[in-house]
Amino acid sequence: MGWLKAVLGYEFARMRRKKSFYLLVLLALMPLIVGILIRVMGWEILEREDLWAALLGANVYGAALTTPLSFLWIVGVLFGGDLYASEVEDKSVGLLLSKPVSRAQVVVGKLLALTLLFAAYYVVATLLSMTGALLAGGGLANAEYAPIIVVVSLASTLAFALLAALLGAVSGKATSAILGAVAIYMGLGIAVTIVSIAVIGNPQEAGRAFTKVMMLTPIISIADWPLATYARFTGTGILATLTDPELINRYYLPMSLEAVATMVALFLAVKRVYETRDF
Amino acid sequence: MYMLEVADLWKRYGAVQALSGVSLTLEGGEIRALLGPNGAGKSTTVKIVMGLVKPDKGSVRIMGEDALSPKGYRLRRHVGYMPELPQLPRWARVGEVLEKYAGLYGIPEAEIPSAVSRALETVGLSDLRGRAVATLSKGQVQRLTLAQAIMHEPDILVLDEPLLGLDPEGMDLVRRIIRDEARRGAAVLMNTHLLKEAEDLSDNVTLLYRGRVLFSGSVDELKQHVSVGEVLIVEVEGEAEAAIEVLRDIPFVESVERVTRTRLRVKLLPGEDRSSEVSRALVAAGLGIRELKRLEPSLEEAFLKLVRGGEQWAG
Repeated sequence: MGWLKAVLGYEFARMRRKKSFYLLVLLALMPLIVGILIRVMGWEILEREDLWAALLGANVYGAALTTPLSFLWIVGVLFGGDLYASEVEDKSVGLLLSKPVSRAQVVVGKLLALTLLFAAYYVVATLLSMTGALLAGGGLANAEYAPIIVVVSLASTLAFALLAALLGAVSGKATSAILGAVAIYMGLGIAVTIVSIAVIGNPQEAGRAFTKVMMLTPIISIADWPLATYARFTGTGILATLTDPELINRYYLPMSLEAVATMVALFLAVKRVYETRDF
Repeated sequence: MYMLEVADLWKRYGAVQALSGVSLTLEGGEIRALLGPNGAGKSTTVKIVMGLVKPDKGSVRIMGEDALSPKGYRLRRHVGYMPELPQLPRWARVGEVLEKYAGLYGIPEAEIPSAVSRALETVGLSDLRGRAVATLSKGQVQRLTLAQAIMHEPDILVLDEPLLGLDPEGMDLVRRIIRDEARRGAAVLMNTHLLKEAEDLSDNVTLLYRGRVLFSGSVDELKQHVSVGEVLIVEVEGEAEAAIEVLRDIPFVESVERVTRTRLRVKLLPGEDRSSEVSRALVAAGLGIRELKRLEPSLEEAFLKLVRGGEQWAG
């Protein structure tokens, strides 16, 4: 497994130099900073039993206090966009692939490095959310679900990273990959909204249809997967976009299976593109 | 056994047939220059050897084993590759980039610091170990790229324009390193458009033109192969007009060109050394000769002649 250590070492060194890395550090610190702010300002209304989850980004107030869970798809896209495109852009891909490692090993090693980085991010962000909640005078209710929230958040972020990574592997351009992934996500969201309203007509019914379609549409459902997980297991933290608890419960399993299948498909596509293209 | 054996490589990019049956071999200690005009297929050949481009057809054997097989990537531990600059990761520092590549080469962790120091010393960059790659000059990047290619003491060196962007001192250093590597027993494949360098450094040349091998052999064989005529420099006493008339009457003189008032450049048709006949003809005409020297036919002349022949043949 010497190759894995070597590829991980290479990739960690590269990621450490990215500006987005510091954005990640800032996002991880955000729950602690907000927790301290609540304490200093004496905002008692925010001192809920499950304040840790609110600080992590669950929509327990109808909106998130901080960003880790709400904007994880952006983090994934930022890191995935140049995962395989950065060496193509600075032309160092020739030197990387001229070494005695296979392209599949490079694909796996880089993805594993990203997985470990995101895992560290979510663990730290969750622990700092709990610390921030305690500092603010809030509670750790439902904290037993923290591990599954971390795992699902990690998977969700990776799925977006894989989408951008695939576009980066195809185009060889990080910026195009990032913009392309954002366009796909937002475009699908807009399409789902328009189709729901146009087909159903009645706004209330359209809302239910929208929830169903959102939960079952690849890519966009993955962004809401961590929040749906929190809502599904705790019965609280209703999502801003998914407003029907009954529908969340009913479609949670298909939503999760679809998310996993999307991830596997994206990974296989990335591997195939990277293994077969000329550099 | 050849250290590198490329056989019958074919590659098409869309409508462009980049390679049409390119073959070459490389033995230990040999320096082979891969020559050809732009678009001849030199870089495609090198990239196929390094596994960066997949051929439509053909084989690449490294140390006798199939480099295009699924496990063929492992054979690249025998190879050091220097692509055309600038191709180093810009986020890294000088020492760091070598450390990361050393890990990828599979150099044991305990040996990496000494391997990095040795490679930096060889290319004269020891003082820049902590510098960011992004701040290096073109020549320094070129030397660092060579350092990463030789740091694991490869059996085969594949160099793509190794002297490009170097100052005279840097060129001298790189030439010395290439010769040292060949002396150590490494087989060197050098893709270059600097014909003088190819002539000085290489034992053999492979000349590509429009994806085909036009010639493969030693530099001397290439010159003989294309029958490059001799060139004489003649300096006469007094005005050169009379000498020009005499020389133009000699049947094996292809052209006469006036360089200065008394100095002429005389190009002979291909054949044996006939400079003495030229001298006799001038003396017989009563003309005094201050100097008559024979210029060695250059690889450049042979190259141009062969490529022009290739153009006629191709089109």
